[in-house]
Amino acid sequence: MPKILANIRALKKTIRNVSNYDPYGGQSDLDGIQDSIAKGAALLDVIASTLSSSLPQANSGADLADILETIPQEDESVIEAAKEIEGLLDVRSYHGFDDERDLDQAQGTLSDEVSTWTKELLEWIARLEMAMKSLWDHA
Amino acid sequence: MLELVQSAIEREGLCWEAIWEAADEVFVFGSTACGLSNATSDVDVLCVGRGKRRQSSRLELIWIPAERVLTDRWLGSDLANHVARFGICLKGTPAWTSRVFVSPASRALKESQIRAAVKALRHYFCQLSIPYRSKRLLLLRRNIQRLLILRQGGAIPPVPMLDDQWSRCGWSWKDLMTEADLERFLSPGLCCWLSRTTESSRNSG
Repeated sequence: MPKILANIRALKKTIRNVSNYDPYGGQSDLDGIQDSIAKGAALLDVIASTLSSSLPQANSGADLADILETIPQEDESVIEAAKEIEGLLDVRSYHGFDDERDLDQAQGTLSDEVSTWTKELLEWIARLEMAMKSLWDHA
Repeated sequence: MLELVQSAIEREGLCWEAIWEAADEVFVFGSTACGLSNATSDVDVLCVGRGKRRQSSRLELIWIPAERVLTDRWLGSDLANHVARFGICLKGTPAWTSRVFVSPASRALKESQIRAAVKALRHYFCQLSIPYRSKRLLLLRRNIQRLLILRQGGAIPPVPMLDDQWSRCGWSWKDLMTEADLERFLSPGLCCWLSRTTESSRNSG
């Protein structure tokens, strides 16, 4: 469990990097966002890897939410948070970060869609972290 | 097809009539449009006009403002090319679908996505159990196929067609990475894994 919590914190840090985007940073900053999105998606699989290896009933290779569903009496909020995180990361990692579509050119900021995505994702990750901590405390 | 799209939209709690009314053009695209969808496929819909994007495991609803469909940025995008080639128009008479082309920007975007995915895979490879390595590689393989198609100026087909092409082409991962000029991004460990898993990824892909 401590390893999972460490990875959830790493995921949070990775997604926070998206908000640190500098519109004047050029290609390296754009690549940085792309890296954060890809890292986030891979980290989610690292978390699922760790969890599934410690749960004999879990189907290795399954999504995090499906693995969490195999835990008896698992809190619905943990499963919901995992589903939301997976959904948000899947979509964004499929589409990548497009400076034309995802930047508000007039304001020189991230578009509303990306800002909302980052905010929502961080909220769901924080919820997952809290729920996992509480599971750990009660274990 | 119209009923299928309507039902996918209404299942998400959205008002079909309002969307239909607000859109100048409505397209269905992806595996549904090609008759290749399965139980896990989502329904992909593109509307020209102004509306709110919706994304879930069952529906992807994308809006593009009417004033943008004739810009080079849109016409050169992989999505515009895909919709023009594989999509089905349910409403409107689109003037843009015959004018699409693959822009350098859309190729560059795909390249940067792939570089980021390879970098992440290198970083976390040792922490991923085998099924998750296979999952990441499957996603990466499809993206590299997409890049190769874009480089040839083609439209990206839906996932079932990509997988079918892969199972028929007889390429190894090494062939794929060489063709895409991505070999230099791989670590020795990842190269070794790829050479060992070519067959299993082909079978699972």
